[in-house]
Amino acid sequence: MIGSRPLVRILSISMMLIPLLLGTGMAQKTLNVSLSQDPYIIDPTANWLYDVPANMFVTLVGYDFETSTVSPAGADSWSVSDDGTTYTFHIREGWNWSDGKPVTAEDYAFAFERIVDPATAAPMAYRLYIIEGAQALNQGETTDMSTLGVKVIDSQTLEIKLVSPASWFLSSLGSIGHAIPKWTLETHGDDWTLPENVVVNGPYTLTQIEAEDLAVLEKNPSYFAADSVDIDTINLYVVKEESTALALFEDGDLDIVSVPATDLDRVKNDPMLSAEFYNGPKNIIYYYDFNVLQPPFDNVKVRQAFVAAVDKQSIVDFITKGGEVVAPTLTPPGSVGHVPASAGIGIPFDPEHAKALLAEAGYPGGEGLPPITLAFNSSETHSRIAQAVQQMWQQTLGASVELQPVEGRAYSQIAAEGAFNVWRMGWGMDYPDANNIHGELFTSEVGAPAIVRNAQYDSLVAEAAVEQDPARRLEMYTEAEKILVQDEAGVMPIYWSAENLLIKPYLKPVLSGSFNREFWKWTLEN
Amino acid sequence: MTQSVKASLHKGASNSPQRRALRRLLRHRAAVAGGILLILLILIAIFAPWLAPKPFDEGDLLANYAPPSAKFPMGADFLGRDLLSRLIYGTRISLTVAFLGAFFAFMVGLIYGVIAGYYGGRLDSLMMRIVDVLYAFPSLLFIILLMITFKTGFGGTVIHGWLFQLITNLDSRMGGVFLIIVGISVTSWVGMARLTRGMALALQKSDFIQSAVALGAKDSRIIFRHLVPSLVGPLLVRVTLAIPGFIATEAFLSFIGIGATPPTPSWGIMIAEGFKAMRSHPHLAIYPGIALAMVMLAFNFLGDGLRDALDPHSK
Amino acid sequence: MITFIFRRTLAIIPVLIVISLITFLLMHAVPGSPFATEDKPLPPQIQENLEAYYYLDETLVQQYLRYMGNALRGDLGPSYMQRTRTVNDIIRDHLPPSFVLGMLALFVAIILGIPIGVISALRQNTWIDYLAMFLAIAGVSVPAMTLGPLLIWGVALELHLLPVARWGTWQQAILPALTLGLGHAAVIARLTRASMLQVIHEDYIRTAHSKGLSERRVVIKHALRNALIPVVTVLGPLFAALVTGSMVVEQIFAIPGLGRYFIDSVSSRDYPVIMGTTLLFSVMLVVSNLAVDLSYTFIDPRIRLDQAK
Repeated sequence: MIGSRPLVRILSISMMLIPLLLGTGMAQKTLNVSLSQDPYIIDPTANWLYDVPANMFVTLVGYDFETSTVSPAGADSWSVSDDGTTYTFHIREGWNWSDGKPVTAEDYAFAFERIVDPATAAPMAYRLYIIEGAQALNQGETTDMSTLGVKVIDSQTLEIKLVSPASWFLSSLGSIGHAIPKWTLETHGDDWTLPENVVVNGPYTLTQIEAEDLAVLEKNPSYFAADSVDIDTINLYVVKEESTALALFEDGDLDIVSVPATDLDRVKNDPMLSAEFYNGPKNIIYYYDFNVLQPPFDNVKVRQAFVAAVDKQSIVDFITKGGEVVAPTLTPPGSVGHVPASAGIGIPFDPEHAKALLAEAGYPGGEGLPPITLAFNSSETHSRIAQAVQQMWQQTLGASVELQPVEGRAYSQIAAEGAFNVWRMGWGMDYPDANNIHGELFTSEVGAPAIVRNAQYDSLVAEAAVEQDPARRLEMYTEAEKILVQDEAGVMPIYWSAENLLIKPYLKPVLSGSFNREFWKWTLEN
Repeated sequence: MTQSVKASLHKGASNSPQRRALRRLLRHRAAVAGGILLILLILIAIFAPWLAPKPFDEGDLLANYAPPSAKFPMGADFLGRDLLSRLIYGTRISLTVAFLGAFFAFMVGLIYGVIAGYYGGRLDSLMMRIVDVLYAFPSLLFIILLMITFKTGFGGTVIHGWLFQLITNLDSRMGGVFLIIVGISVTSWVGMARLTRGMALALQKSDFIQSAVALGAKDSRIIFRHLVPSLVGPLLVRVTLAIPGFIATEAFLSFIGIGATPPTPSWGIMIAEGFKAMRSHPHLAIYPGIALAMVMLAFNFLGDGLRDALDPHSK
Repeated sequence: MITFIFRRTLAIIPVLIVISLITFLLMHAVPGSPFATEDKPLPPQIQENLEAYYYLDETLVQQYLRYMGNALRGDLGPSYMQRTRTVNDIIRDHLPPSFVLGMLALFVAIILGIPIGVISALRQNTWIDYLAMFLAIAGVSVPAMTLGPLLIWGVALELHLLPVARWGTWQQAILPALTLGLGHAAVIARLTRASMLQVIHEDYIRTAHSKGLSERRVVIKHALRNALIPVVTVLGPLFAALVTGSMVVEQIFAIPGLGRYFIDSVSSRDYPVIMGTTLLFSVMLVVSNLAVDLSYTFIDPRIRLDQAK
């Protein structure tokens, strides 16, 4: 399969020559970026999405985090039935796959079918459970694909029926349900994503891939908006060590790089680098969960005391240093259902109040508190924040806190089952709606077994998911946040992350806060 | 009979070989320097709470990444903790890892190797089969698997039982260092055993052992009087050479996130953190590096001296 | 000789079986599913789907036998992380960088280590000896994770002599090979010196001297040959250690090697990759050990193969 590389190279070279032969005379624009994961995982229906497939395949709609609007993508228009449960999408006409076949509603329908098919074992299938029949199919209760609420009306019309109305459904389609060329899967099986086989409908196509090393994306001339795509070639190099990526940037091998916390002071103070420095928000919430199954955190006063004892501002100012925003609540700014600071929800930093609460709970000065285990998945940043929090709890509350770094995949599972007293979590928004947090992380149905349970919270979240009136929804999420982070204090939000980048002056990226980089919106100046 | 063998081997031995070795060791300037340095480090480790100007686990956030100054002689880390104090406390951990790892590797390796090499035959075959299996197991991979099995098994979710509880408790008491020592010990003796056995095999054929055998000396006598003293030198050199590896293994495990538990002031953690901060905050990389080099220097010089002193053939 | 090699090769099989068993049990004792993400445990149904897809719902015995059966036919199984690739693909793609890096580092270690060790021994207790040993100790003392970034900073970023990182050209190979090899050069230098010192004081060297042979001849023909025995014993494992132990260097220099891949596979519980890599490295170790035993006979004719088994 990989043995046919020379042929691929020749093909890609000849593709690069086409514009030259046509006499456009335009210089090739090449972007060099780093990638922190292996590029080999391409199939957007079988795996969690990342940069490379996000630039090769097109979803029905796009989402622009800057303007908070849903924009046309694969579908150029759509309508919603009055009861809010039936969506009808019109797929663009005159738009072809890179092998010349037209893009049709079938290609989208197949993508949804493939995701819910248990044989695909797609990890994000649960996100489609809002679609009629999806849950039953995915859980193997039926194998009849015709029960799925995704129907092809005609070659350009796709209909999706939901279990219940969901105002967040449309924006959630910005990161799931990329059209898939079914016929290439039938010919090539799992190898359909290899450069020599892959057929795309997005802005870029994959021309080279070396596992753990590099992926090369080339502009796809058959993309419907190919004229507006500025960058011709994107080299994505796998560099897992952040300090090495920074060195590569400084040496001119990368055009954009993320700055590790350790180097932020130097970068900001360097006359050259500070000019290339960018700081902006990122839609990630960083938080700690409390285990309510064991003492002392089965006592709400203890939880509130521990939250009040954490000086989040100092963590942001001195540990992460990247312009992160202290989070009193969970849903990040820019997402529907974000509770404005003016609402006064959340437990503010107040050491005296914390001590008083702990005393009320029966542990004056920390006396009688059992040793607390604070767990985090091994990483420098998590370890640093945990060490700072450990120090705060020890100094303010007199608690004895033991850190527990946990490596790898075991972490979320063990933690959810209640192996630790407190554990770190983080959540990046798949779509900008509070349902992505509350509906998928903390209710009794989906939440970790060891976190707090509250019936009122559950019903608020369930109602908010189907509520159509935006103002009423915000009220419901405000109330839900108040229960979760303040009254119950089952979760301690710490901060909303920030993006800290160095960008060469000739590169103009669009950093919309989307989880994946949308290279087709980026421009390079010569 | 045996008396004459001994006399022929240690010409002009007027007093005990141990005392002569000690005298030779003390004449070796580098060894004396290494020994003094090591004793100094041991004293630092013992008296760490009195020597360290500040606690190792409490910092002042306002002083994060502070460069060396009067207040922080070697600067401060990301949490504003005094680096000098952390290094002083860290001596305890590094020396524990070094001594326990080396002791285990040396003793087990020597005994195992001598028995296999001297007796040979079927016993040798059997013993070497076991060694072959362990030797063919890539040691770093083995340590990683071992560490992860134990570290993520925390809370007894997977492995139950008192032994597991004992190990994890002991490990958390020691700030996560106990398992590192176990991992190092389990893998490092194997190389020593092979080396010992190879040398024992060669020595067994040598003239002085052959003549001892010919003169009818007992096995135990040949092993302890002739074989072991000839092996101790090279083995000691090998052990001192292995000690940097032990401490580097500790740093490596921190590098991949399964090392000592923070805020344990392990040099490995400090080195693994320091390299990332090297360009922006060089003091975080330099001082732990110097500390590590001091320990290496001490062990190496001492090892050299010991080799010269213990080698019965040296002038 | 041939029978010896044949016998030793046969002996590898039980060794590998024991190793595969230990690895298999250890990795299955590690909690965590290969299909979870760090942020959120997967819904149980999806977890079951994935487990059924990869036969992880079978008993451990069945899984082990299935794995070994396939492995014997040369199929090391799929990778859970990358469904389009098999472990065979992964080894084919990632072993070469690790192998080349290991060879280069070994070259650095030998070329620097042996001459320094010999010179040091011949000039025992002179300033040359002290300087060489000081450098050797400094070499061992600087771990790869400090030396690598130091070289990147100095050689690549300040002097612009070599590329910062990545793999592909010979220029890109220099810094990682030095980072990996220097520490081991120091080990070899010290070992050579120690062993050389021991040898020069042996009777037969004194005899050679007294026969009036030239210093050069004595050193090369007699002393070095014997002094290299302990050095050779470490070369085999050293090479294997260089190939398997290049994880830090691969990570720092962004080299797509197998070592870095192994760490990832352990963190993500990619069982077939863990098994495949461990078995592959084990084979390499066994073969290099065999090569060492064979080389004994060439260097020291006093040892016969039947004893060195």
